[in-house]
Amino acid sequence: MSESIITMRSETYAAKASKLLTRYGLRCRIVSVDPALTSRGCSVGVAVNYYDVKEVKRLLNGANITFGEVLGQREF
Amino acid sequence: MIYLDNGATSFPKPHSVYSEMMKAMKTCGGNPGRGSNTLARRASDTIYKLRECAAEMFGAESENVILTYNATHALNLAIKGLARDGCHILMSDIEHNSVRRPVASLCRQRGCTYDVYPSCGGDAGKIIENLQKLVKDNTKLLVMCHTSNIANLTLPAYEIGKFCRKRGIAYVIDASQSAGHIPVDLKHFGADAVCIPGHKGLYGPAGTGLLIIRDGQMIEGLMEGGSGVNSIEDTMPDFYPDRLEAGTLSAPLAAGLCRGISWVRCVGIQNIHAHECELSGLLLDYLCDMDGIRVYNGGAGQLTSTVLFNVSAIPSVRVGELLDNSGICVRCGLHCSPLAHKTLKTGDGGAVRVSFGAFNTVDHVRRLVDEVHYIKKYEN
Repeated sequence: MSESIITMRSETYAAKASKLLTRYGLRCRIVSVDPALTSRGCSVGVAVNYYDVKEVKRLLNGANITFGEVLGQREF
Repeated sequence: MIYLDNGATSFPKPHSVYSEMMKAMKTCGGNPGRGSNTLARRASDTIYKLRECAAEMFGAESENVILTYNATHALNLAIKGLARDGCHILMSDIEHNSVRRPVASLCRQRGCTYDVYPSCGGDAGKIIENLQKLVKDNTKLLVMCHTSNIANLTLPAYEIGKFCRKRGIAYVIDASQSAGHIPVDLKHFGADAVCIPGHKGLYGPAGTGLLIIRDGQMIEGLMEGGSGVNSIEDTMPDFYPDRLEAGTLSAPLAAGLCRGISWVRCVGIQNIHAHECELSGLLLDYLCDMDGIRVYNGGAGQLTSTVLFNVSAIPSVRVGELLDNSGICVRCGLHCSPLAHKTLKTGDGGAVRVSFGAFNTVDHVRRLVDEVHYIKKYEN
């Protein structure tokens, strides 16, 4: 599966996002983000299907859940 | 053993609280918010479950639920975070030392001043009237004890909130004796912060507390340290809850508190309150019929889980000792609330406090009354 990671402020936001996405039937999981990929060091993100990114961003915005950058496409 | 000191900490806890904590100890052994290994993940999930549960109960967003060690910790964060250097603070005349001391410390260290507003037996009109006289141009913070820890008195949280909003005054509610007993809602009350112990009316373990903070109200923490995120920066994150939660959180404690809240919601706050008031009312009836008993009435016609009294001229601590010898646990003295005792005119020796919980029974009241009769007869 091809995944993208949406960086979140912290575990709390990641958990909130994860619950929301699951409720909408979108597969996701909370992951640690490689500190080398961010400017602030350790962080967490929500890994989602690459093709769901647009919908995920729409849902997060709609629920006022702050998120950061979307990190590329990874193959698993 | 009859435990009548639920105002200090509730006991026993619901069985599910014990089992949930044990389960968390055995299965959520990782560090919440630190890494994404399976055990850390489980611990994080446990913490988040508590935030969600508390947010739903107290009218907030889950990220604005800050986990603290107790209500005192939450109050220190809120009071010191919302006060401004040199500002004027208002607090009620029934405040606990967990409010009085941080406010006094602000006066010593940051040039603040304060005034005490009268609780007026909970009469909203009279309280507001007094607040209007006391408020100053530089009043930036008002603290209100929602329900007294020593007497039957609940203050009008909504009306005081309205007063604060109108004047742009930050509003902090100490819900130590109201959370889990009566509805407490940050948004409805228009509060900036609500401070709650986890181990009293919410039936969680000691060592837990909650600071529920208004969205967009950013305050400084009391501690800095690891947060699991933004690790390159030498400052705490600029968002909640991480900003105020330096260091490792306890998943077992969170699991216990979450289960306690769920239990309270399942039984129903109104049912718990009705039960406690029934017991308080019964005890008050008995005590008022006895000669030589002085009952301290906080709010006319109000009933809470607490009854305060003295037995003739016997020092309250002596009464407590004798009751303890008979297997009845109460709390005596000043209850960390000298200000409230002064308001109720209990005298230097304080008084005997009985505070009921969900697990007390009518039989407990009768046993207590029998013992008080006995003490009065033989100790006088």
